Amino acid sequence: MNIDQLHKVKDWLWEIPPSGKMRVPARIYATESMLEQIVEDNAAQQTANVAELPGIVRASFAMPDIHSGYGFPIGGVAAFDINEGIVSPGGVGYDINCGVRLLVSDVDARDIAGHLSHLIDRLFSTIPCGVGGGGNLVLKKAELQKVVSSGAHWAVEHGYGIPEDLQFIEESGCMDDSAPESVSDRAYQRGADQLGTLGSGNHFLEIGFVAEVFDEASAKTMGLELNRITLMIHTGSRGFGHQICDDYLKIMDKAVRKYGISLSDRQLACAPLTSPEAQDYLGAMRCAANFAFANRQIIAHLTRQVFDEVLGKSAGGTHLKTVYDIAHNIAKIEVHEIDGEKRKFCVHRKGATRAFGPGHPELPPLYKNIGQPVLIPGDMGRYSYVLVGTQQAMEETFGSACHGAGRVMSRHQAIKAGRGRDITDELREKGIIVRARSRGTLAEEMSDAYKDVSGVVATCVKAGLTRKVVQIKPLACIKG
Amino acid sequence: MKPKIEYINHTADIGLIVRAPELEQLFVYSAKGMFSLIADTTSSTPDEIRKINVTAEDIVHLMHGWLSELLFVHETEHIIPIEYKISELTERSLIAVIKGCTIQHGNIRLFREIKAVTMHNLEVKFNGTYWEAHVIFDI
Repeated sequence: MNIDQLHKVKDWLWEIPPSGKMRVPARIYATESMLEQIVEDNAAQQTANVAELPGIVRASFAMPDIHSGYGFPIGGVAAFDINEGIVSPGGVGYDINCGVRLLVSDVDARDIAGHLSHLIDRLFSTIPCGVGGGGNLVLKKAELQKVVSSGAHWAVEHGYGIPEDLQFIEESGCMDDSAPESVSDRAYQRGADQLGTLGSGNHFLEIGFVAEVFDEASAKTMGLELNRITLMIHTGSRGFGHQICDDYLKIMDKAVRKYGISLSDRQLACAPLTSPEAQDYLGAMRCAANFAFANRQIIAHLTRQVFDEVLGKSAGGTHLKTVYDIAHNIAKIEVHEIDGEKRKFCVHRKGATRAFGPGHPELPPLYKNIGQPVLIPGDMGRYSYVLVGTQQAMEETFGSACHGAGRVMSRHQAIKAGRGRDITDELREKGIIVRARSRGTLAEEMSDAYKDVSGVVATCVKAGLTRKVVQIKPLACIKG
Repeated sequence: MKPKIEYINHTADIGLIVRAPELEQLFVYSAKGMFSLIADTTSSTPDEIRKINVTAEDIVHLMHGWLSELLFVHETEHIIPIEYKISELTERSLIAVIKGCTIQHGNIRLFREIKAVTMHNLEVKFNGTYWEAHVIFDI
C-alpha cells in the first residue's frame, strides 16, 4: 500500500476504491498530515483487508486514531449483513469491552487542591493495578456465571454502586443473550480474582477537571460544568476477556477452512453469523462485555468510597455521578437504515466507540436530545474530551467515532525516548500527580508516545461524526 | 551460536525474535523473553514447581500453546517462571517442568502485563544452522 492509492474525498476523508478481493471501499477519516503514518504503519492496508470479508456493508472504516492491530486495525469499524456476513474475534480484540467510564463530582477543582495527593494515594492503595494485581473479590465459577449474565446489575445488587448508574452505561450495563456455557473454564479461572482491578498497559484511573466548555447546554445536561472535578476509568474485561478471544481465535481458524472463507491475513479469522461458531462466540463475547461493565462499576464504587473517606460524605449521597460508560472493543447486533430500509447488522468496533445521534431509542432519556456521550481519553499529560454523537455518524459510519489519541511511538521507542527523564517529575511540574506500579509503564505511556488527541477529535468534528462538549485536563493519574 | 533474544517494535505492543541452535532452547528462550517483558527475575529464587503439557497441530501452534499456557499459570497462580526443563519435545507436543517464584509484596520488580500471545506474524522456522521464532504480544 502506498499513499497514492488513497483518493481524497474531502479534507478529512480518504478512500481506497475496491480492487482485487475488496467487496467495498476502505474509508479513512484523517487529515492529509496523518496519512503518511497511517500508511507506513500498515493500518491503511489492514483497513483494505477488512473490506474483503464476506457480507461487509457500505465500507471498511478507519477513524483518525487508527493504528496497526492484528488483522483488523485499531480504530476500525466494520458492519456485516446479518444473513450474509461474519463475526470475527479479531474485529473486537483481546480486551473485549475495553472501555471508559466518566464520573463527575459535586466538587470544584479549586476546592480540592489540598486533598488531591491524599485522594490519589488512597485510590492507588485501594484499587489493584499492575502485574499480579488481583482484587479482593474472588469468585467461583457459579458466581462468575451470574456476573457475566447480568454485568453491572450484579455489581449494584451486591452493593457496588447505585441503581441510577445503570441507565448511564451503554446497554444499561448488561448485554442480553450472553452464553456463560460458551465460556471455557480457563476464562473463569483467569477472571476469578480480577473483578475490580485496573490492569496495566494503557489502562488508567484519572482525576481531572472540566477545563473548557464548548457546548454549554450539552455540558449542563451531563453535569460537566467548568472546573468540576471528573473521574475517568479506562479498563476492560481483563484476563477473562483475553482468554475468550484466544479460545475463539482457534475456533475461527478452523471455521475459516470449514466454511471456505478466503482471507488476506489469518488474524481476520471469522465465521458466518448464521453458524454455530459465530453464535457461540457472540454469546461468550457478551459474557466478557458484561464482566467489563461489572469491573468498571466496582472500580467506580471503590472510588466513591475513597472520595467519601477523604472529602467526607456528600450531602447528595455521593460525590460522584456516572456521566456515561462506553465500550470501544465490541461487536453488536444493531439496526441501521441503509437505502431507506432498516436492517440488522453486526457492527464491529475495535478501538472505536458508538456515537449515536440525538433521538436514538438506546440513549438514556436524559441524553435523548443531545446525542450519546462519546468519551475520548487523551494522554496523561494533556487532555481528554467529551463529545456527543450525531445523525451524520448514524448515516455514514453506523453511528461510530474515534476512541482515543492513538499511539505514535512503539513501546520501545517510548522507553528509549524516556531514558534519563523522570516522567513523574515532568508531570509534577505541569501540576499532575502520577502513581504507577512500574516506571517502565510510565515511560511507555508518556504523552510523547501518543498523538495529540485534539487533532483526532477535530477531525471527527470536521467530518460531522461528533460534536465537542467539554475538554478535561488531568490532575492526578494512576497507571498499572 | 548462543541463544539470543531480540525485542521488536509494534505500534501498540511488543514482540520478540528469538534465535537458538536447538529447538528446545528456542522454546526455553522464547519463554524467558516473554517473562523478561513482565518482570525482572534476575535475583529471584523459585519456590513453586509446575508441570506443563502442551499439544498442537504444528510447531507454530505449539509455540503459541506453550507461551499461552505459561501466561495462564502466571496469571491464575501469580507465579513468574524462572527455570525451565523440557523433558519431551516434538513438532506437536511438549512436556516441561518449570520452577517459578510466587509474586509477593515487593519481592519481584514488575514491569507490565501481557494480555495474550498473538498469532500475528507468528513464526517458528529452521534457518539451516539455527531455529528462529517471531512472537508478538498484546500488551
